[in-house]
Amino acid sequence: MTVVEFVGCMFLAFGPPFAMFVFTIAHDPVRIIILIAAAFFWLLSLLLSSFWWFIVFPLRKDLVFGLIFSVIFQEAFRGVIYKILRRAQVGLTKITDDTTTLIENKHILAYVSGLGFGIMSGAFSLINVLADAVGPGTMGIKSGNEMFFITSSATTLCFILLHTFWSVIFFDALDKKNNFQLIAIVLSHMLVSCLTLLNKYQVYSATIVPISFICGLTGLFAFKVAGGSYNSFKSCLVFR
Amino acid sequence: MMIFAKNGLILLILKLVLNSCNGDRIKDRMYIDVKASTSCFRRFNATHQVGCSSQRGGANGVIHFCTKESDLHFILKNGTAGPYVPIVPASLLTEKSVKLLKLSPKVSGLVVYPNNETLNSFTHDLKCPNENFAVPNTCGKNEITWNPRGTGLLFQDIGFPVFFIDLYEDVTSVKECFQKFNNFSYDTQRDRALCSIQLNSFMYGAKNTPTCIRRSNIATNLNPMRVCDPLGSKNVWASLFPLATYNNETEEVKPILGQKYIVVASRSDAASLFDRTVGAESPITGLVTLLAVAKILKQLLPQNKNYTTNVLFILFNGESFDYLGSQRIVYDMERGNFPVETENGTSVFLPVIKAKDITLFIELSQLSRGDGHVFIHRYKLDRWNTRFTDLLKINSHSSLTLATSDGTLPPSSVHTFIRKYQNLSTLVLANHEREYSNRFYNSIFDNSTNINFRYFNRSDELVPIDSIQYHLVAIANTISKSIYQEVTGVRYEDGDVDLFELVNELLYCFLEDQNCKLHQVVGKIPQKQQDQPLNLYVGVDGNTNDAVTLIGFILGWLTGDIVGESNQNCTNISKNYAFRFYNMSVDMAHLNVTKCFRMVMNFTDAVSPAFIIEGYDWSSNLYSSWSESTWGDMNARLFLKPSAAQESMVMAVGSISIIFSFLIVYFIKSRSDILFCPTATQPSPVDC
Repeated sequence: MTVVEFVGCMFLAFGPPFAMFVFTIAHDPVRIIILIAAAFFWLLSLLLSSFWWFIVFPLRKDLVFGLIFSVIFQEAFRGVIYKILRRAQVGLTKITDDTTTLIENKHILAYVSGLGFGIMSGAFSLINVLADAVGPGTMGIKSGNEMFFITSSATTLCFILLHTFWSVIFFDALDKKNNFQLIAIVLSHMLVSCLTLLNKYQVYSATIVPISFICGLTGLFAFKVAGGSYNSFKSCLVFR
Repeated sequence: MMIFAKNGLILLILKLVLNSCNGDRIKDRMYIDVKASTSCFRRFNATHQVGCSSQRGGANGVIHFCTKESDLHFILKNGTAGPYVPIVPASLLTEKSVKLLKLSPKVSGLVVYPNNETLNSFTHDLKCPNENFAVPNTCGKNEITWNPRGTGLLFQDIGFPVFFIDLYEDVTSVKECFQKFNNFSYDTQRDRALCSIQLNSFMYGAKNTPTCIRRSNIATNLNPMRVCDPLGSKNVWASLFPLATYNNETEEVKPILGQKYIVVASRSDAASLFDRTVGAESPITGLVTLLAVAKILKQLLPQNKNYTTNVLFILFNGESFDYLGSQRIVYDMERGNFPVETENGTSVFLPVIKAKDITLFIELSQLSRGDGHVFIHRYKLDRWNTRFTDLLKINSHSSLTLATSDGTLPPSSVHTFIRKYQNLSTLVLANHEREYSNRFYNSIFDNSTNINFRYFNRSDELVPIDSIQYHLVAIANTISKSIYQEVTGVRYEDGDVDLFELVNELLYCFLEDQNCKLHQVVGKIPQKQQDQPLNLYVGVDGNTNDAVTLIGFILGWLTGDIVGESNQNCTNISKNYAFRFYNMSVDMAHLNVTKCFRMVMNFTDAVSPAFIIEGYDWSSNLYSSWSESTWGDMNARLFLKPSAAQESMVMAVGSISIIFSFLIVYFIKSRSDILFCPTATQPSPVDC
């Protein structure tokens, strides 16, 4: 029945990350290792968030509380990855075939670890929903509407991409000691996460439109940080 | 650690996955469980499968709420978004409509909801119940059809799941869902999300009893899976006077041989199309009368003063399914295994009772009040039953109208006995002459309303003379006094025994509240305490239902003797097949005062001989061969089925997303040096 919906949602949420993985990560073992390591660090942040949520039992019912601290923990762990990767860089160059690009372009490490972060967070947010989408039914019998699954998938996709962009900007900010950029990242993460709180009112457009807008902006910013510009964009469109 | 991670996980899911402030799973918001539902299930006989089953995982269908027959025809004709599950009132569950639904490719299941007020009849047994194992020509001829309203659906292979919803709230939620999503512009139903139901009652067994028993016994793996179980339970027997003498000092038990027996019998099971049975009229009216007779006789004849006749009470189980309980007892009697299994036809504890020792076989069938008539069915007239009929008439209570009906034999355990022993003297007491007055025979609506039962919980309340309690007490007194006269040869001259309280309590126990006084008296309160009627379905062998145990112990309590104070020694007194000892309350008014009771009551297997005979030839059709399929889950839930357009839209969006992302990422990757290289702002060399 709605195996169709299940497949559709899966393609939407995990199609782009999969494409990114296939073309930019899969060919290099070191990148795969970094991707997995980043995913593992996201899991650690999840574990810590859960501890915190468990300890502060009076506020367990308050979603906002858990959300804010979860964002803080995630960003903290992004910092931890940064530290570890910068330390490991020398070692990494020894084992990779692709030394020049990994070392010369620092953004690659940021991009790979960001994608790992994003994929894991996306998996955790969507898989339970997708599991329920396989059954014969769809959302809307009690509350909510039929758009639930597709908006969930779209939101998840945005979050995966956002995590990638955030990591690129974040690493760059730490490299350049640009505190303004750093704060902007944490705030935008907080903002986007808080936007999802609006979903309980079931006006999905109220969340999905701003989130994808922010995603686009962050993407452009990351593009610029990574060395791109309008001119480079134009010139890449020119066929050789 | 795991727990912490799990909790956090749920939290983050809530955070990221949106949507809810409570800990519901998404699933909980997509499905509404229809809790108070029971399903029809599958049974087998030697040649066929009957009943219903869904596909594995459940049958899905768009609901259509019908209130009248035209609604059903409407959806079969005009429905565009199949398959459908019609939700029909009980009055529409007829042979005709089920046939219609079976033929329609648009139907994947059926849900029935109660509408008692307009229900004329609801009985899914055959028009001639148990016809294949009855004495020939007792039904269907000479204008006799015992159950003329019977649809026979209980013995049809329906092929799709049929559920019964009995709670008003559930019916309302189904109806609301239907009104909200389905009940408008039927032409465009295909194009929108529709309220649907999933009916899951997948049956593991298939085909027929021999096949599924064979499949259950295949030892291909270490954990063979049972796909069906023989129907079966326990028969209960008890005697008025002990069948053996007990020497208190030597603890020696000796059987009393050479006695004749009057059998007072009744069935103790009911059936229903769904996995729930009540059975107020059949068997409870007969059963309660039997228990009352036991009580009165115990009072009139507390001791055996060298009478040559004893009274044997037998409750047959599984009689709705081709008389399997009585078949087993006849089978056992033939081999000298009744009342206890013996090695060579003799027992050191109990006399072996054979059919020739039975002088009179009295069966109590449906006995609700109706117009006050009690018919005495005598299949063959002989010295014994003619005399007993006279006794009944002499001792008849003034409120009863006794009438004889000769040559007729309503469905009863007597059939099994007469098929084997033509000369047995039998009487069947029932409230009907040529057809059941019970319009709800073997169905869930055969409940306390059907017999106009009202519980009187205060003794000072004036009891109407036309109450069911009063009627059953009158019948019990009539029968008891007649048996008294038959046994002693003297007429019982004193007035009636007032058993109103007991009968009132018995009916209440069986029909309304299982946690009642009588069950407390015998100390056998059912494990599942619920104010629901006792489930009287025979069940499967090896899994004796609560009802038969309770009824057995109540019978034992009514016919038992107090032998001493209640203490631990009581239950330690050597148990054997002749006597059983239990601590029980002395009466219903004094639940806390317990004494040691000695009872002559026991259970015998009520499993068809077909299942115990080595190498039984299933095609011989000698014995009942019913078995029941096993199943896993049985549940129903409402959900919203997405429209085809919605599904295609999601799929399209997903596919576009994945295809474009592959193209874009490939493009960016191949041009990454130009895109991300700050120096690339200058035109790059063409040949690089």
